[in-house]
Amino acid sequence: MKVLVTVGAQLPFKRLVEAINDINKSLNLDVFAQVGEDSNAYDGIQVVDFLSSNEYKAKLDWCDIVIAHAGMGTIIQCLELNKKLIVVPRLAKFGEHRNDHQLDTIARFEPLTSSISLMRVCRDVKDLQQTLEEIEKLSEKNDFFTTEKEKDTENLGVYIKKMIDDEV
Amino acid sequence: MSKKLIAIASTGGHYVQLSRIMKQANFNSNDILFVRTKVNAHDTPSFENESLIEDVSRDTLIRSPIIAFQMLKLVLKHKPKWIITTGAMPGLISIVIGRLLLRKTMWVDSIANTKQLSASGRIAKKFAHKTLTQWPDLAGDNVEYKGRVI
Repeated sequence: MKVLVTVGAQLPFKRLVEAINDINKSLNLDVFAQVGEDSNAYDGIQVVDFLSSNEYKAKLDWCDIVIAHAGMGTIIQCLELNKKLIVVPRLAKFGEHRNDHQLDTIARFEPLTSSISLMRVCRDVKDLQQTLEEIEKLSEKNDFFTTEKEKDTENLGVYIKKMIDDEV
Repeated sequence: MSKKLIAIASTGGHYVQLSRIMKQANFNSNDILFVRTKVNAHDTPSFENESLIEDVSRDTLIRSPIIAFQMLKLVLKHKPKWIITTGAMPGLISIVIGRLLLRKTMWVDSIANTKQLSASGRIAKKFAHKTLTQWPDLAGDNVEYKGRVI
C-alpha cells in the first residue's frame, strides 16, 4: 500500500509525521511524506520538505491513501480524485497553527463522512493506525462523502463569471 | 495583450480553491493570469498563464513591499479589469495594489473559515469592491454569500 503524507505548503506538523513514522516501523508501508520545514529525522518513512505542484500531482496519482492535516486544499484535491483521505486537525495548543480553524473545518465536514466514506477524520493520532486499517479495506469506488452535502443552490463560479463579464 | 482578470492566492489550500472556482467559472484560459506564491527558491510556473511571486505571511510582513512591487508590475503589464483572490496575505496586498491602480477587486474568503471571516478577509472587505464568504451565516456587513467551492 502506498501512502502520501502531506502537511501543506505552510507549517510543519511534527505530531502527525512522528505518529506515522512510529506506526510504519511495524506496518512497513511505502510512505512518502511532504513535511515542510521540519528539523526532525525520520527513519521509517521517506520525507521531502516541499513538492512542486507537478511533483505533488504525480504523488497524488501514485498513492492509494493520503494522510494529511485538515486543510481544505487537500480535501478538495482528494474529493476531485475520489482518493482515500485521512485528515488530522492541527491544534493551536500545540503551536501547530495560529488558531483552531482546522477543528471548525472538521466540524463542517465530518458529518458528511462515515465508516464507509473515502474521507475519514482522525482527531487523535493514537487512533491513526486503526483508521488506516479501516480505510485500507474500503473499495476505491466508495463515495468520498456518504452523506449528501448541504444543499448549495448557488454556484460560486457561475456568479463570479457573470459578475466579471458584466463589467467587461 | 491585456487580461480580463488576475487570479491570485498563496500556494496551498487558497490556490486550490481559487483554481477550482475559476474552473467552475469557465473563462477562456487566455483571459486569466494565475498568480501564486513560490514554495521555495526552485519553484517554477507549472503552466503557461501562471506567474509566481515571493511568499509573505503574518510572520514575515517585512517582505510585503517585495510582493507589492511584484504585483504592481504584473498589474501594469497585464492591465486586468478585475483582481480576484482567495487569500491570504499576498491576496490582501494584491487587493490594495489593485485599488491603487483603479482595478476592480474581489475577495473570496476561504471555505476553511467557517466561524468568522479570516483575519485578512476582515481587512480586505474594507478595500475590496466585492467580498464573498463561503458560509451563509457569515454574510452581512458588505459580505455576501454566493455559493461555495465544494
